[in-house]
Amino acid sequence: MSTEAIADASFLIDWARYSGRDRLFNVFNVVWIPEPVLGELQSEHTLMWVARGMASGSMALFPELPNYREEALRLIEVSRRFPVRHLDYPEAYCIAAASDRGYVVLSENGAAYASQFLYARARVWRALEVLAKLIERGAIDRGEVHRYEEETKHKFPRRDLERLGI
Amino acid sequence: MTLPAWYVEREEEARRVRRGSADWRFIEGLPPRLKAAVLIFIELGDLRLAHRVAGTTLEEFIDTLREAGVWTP
Repeated sequence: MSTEAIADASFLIDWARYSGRDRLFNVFNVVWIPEPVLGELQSEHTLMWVARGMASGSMALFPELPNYREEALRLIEVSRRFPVRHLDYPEAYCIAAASDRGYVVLSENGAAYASQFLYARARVWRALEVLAKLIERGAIDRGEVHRYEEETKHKFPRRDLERLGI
Repeated sequence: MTLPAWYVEREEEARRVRRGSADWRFIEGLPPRLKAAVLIFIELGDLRLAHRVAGTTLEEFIDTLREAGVWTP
């Protein structure tokens, strides 16, 4: 599988609160941050984590390129044909770039997650899929999922936990 | 193409989780735009739409959802 990911703001804001946030780099060699996403990050906490990630080479800025911008706009239009939440530009840009380059999209946005079942080629992972991968690799135990919930105030539906065998 | 059944059921469960875990006293005390945005998120789970209604930064809005006990995207 690809060892590179591209993250949207909803994932970064969520994951940055987790004390084990740097475990993300046990799963992905590089996490790309698109320019439109970087503009959505505001808090010192999240920005400093991203800055440290960039300084260490675990994260990198992904430029806004005309071909992916065009594809992102097309994906936004396509998303409006389905009776589910619609994509917005930052996550559409992530999906456009990931589809072409084989990255995994990291997003907590429901529209982005649903897109992989309906019209997008890119795989989309939420925090829970990353945690499941870390469990599978033996990097954390199942109890860490509850720590994640406590630290980020992110409550996972039981059905998600069961589907991933957590 | 359609959404897998498990995902449709997951979305229903997520809505129930948001409704059930909401701190309604906190939500009732929010300014009108923010309160409306939180209610939209609880019912639809649509972060982008709710964020637009909130009129705050995305991070501030997610923090509000955390405080309201409804951060189940």
